[in-house]
Amino acid sequence: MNPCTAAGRQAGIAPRTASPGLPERGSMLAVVSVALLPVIGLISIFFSRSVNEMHAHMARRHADMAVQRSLAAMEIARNIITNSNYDDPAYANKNARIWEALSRNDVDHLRPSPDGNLFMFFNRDTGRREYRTYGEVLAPGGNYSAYRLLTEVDLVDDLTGEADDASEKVRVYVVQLTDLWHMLEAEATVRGVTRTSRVVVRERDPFTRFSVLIGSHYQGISGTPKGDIHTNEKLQIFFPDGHFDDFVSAYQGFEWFIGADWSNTDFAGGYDETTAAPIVLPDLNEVQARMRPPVADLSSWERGSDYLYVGTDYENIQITFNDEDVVVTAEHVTNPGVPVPIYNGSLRDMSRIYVTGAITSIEGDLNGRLSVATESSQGVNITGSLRYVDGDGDPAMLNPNDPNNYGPNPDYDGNSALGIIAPEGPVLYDHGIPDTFEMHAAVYAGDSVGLPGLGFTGPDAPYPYNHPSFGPGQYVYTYDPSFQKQNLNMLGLTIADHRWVGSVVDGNGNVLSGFQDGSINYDRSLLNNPPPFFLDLERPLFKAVEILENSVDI
Amino acid sequence: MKDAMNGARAGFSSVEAVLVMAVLAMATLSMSHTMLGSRQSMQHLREDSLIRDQAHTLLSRLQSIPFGSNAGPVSALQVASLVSLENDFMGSPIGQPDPSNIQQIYSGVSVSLRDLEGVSPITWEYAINGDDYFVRGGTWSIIIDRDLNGDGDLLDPFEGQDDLLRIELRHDGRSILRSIRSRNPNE
Repeated sequence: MNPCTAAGRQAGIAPRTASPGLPERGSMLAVVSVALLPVIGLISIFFSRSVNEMHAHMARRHADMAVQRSLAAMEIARNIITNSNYDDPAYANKNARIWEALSRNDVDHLRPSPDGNLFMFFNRDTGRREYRTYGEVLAPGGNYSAYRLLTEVDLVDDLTGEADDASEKVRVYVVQLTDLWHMLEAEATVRGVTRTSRVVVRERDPFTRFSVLIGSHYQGISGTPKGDIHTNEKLQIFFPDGHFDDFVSAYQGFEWFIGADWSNTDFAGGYDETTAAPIVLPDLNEVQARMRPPVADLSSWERGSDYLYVGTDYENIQITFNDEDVVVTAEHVTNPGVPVPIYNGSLRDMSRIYVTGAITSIEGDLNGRLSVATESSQGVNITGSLRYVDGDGDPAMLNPNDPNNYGPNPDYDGNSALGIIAPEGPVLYDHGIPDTFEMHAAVYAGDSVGLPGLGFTGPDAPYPYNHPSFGPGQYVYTYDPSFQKQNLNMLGLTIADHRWVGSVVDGNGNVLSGFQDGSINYDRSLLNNPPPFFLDLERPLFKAVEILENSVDI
Repeated sequence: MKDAMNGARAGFSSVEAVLVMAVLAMATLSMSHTMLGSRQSMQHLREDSLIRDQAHTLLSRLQSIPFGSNAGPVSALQVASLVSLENDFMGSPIGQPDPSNIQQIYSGVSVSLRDLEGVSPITWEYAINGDDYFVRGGTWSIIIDRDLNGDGDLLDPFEGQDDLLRIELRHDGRSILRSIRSRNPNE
């Protein structure tokens, strides 16, 4: 009976209520609270993971910005050095901007140590930074150089309005490594993240970084040549699948032949189809200025401290290398046809042979480093193989009879280098060279290099080969069919005004003149260690960009 | 019997039940919100990383082409090749799907930086027939000019030279990467 109804109340049945005697028990909230703990934990984990990822992402972005800001400042520094002159009387023949910086000793232009109490130096022996006193800046030791300010760059603020923020400035320092090599460092910081870019620069760009440099003719290339390649005319690229590890350029553009085109040619080292300016080859005046020894009598001959000079009284000079010795003979102008001995002795301490007459013979095995130059318009006639050998007589290269396998000799531990310089004439192979011919040298000729008897199309050619439709050196119109040899094995480089040709072939690939086979190898050691007195350009060469984190030493 | 009856009658009050459900609902909502937010953040970071990676790829291409001496013509195809995605198997930005599904590998372009300066800013989208196919779409742009700090004038040091150019990459108007390129001495 329902106690809430009238009948129920009449019956005396009391309504059921929560009995005050019974305890109220509710443990659900406690249970839920405990159960919520892992949920809260999960939320925290997700949240903190997101925050950590965001922080890591922002750190990467700041590092990125620091790298780009450092590299941007380095580009400006490179621009300053590139546009510098080399004829400042205060820094004769040196890059004026670099030496202007290196000659500053005031505190504001030195790089401070992190604590600001000392100055930063670079130790050339260990390749590490050191911190030394100002006194050592003024009186440097033998193997360390101080960092000096080259430029300070602000790529963020508008100088016409905003306040400068010192943290946005990037300072680029220069430190001298050797006579010609220097190192640049640019350090940028973004929100506490620091990155440093580092570049090495050679004050003068050596001609020896080119494996082929042609002054006023077309030049053809194919295959996988090493070393920079440039012509001031058009560069003709033959055959598909060409691969070039180093920089390829032309002043007048590229031409493609026998299946070669952009899609199947790999310019791994970069390229420039039309350079801003031609590369001017040195003339006789420059060669004289750089190479001619300070002799008293220009007509006679003289063995000096580091040179052999043969003057205007002599012609038809013949040079034969024999390990560390050299034999030089010549004909006196009053007695032509009768060679007389000029010098027969050691090459030690001899870094140049400078002659005014034609070199009618040069050959032999060389264990030494020197350059040979002639002022004669008849140039140089190579009469035999020129090879690098070491003190044990081991040649630098092996397998001359097998050009496909012509390569470095592991037993060779020498350091030989030969430069042949003829600014007024050609450097040609004589008919008497051996059938398997080796040529180890860096060659510069103001005319042609290589095969004798070649005639090239161009404005100086006879009619009809001087027709304007023919580019200079575009074709060979005449050749010497009697010059027939088997193998041309080269280790070095060729710089010439005229097109360099190893073989003249007909449309069927038959060799009309020159070599049947060959191996052309660029001597990369010449890039950093050219033959003494070999020529260079008055412009810098930048190498080896690297990024350092937080100024960690190499 | 009374005790048994008393135990059988102990339980949750409705208020407790409502409170518990409310707390659980809030907790679930919070967790869902956090997870969703976290997922969105991760997605955003991922897309941002992809955008920055592509910007780095484009910057390295721009740093490797010749500097050039004079501004020459640049075709739409050259621009499309320059900015194409690596291994872009879906087609090129010019809107032509590759029917053979061949992956396209960047193999260089025959333009110079000075050429691109002449047509700067270069803008494009990674879309085919209006459908975005790279991250969340958006408009890309490359700016190549002589305003090295991007402040709109050429009054600052080193600005205005023809051998020093700014390269900036933007996505939806936001600057992603900025660098400078100087003409190399051998160019």
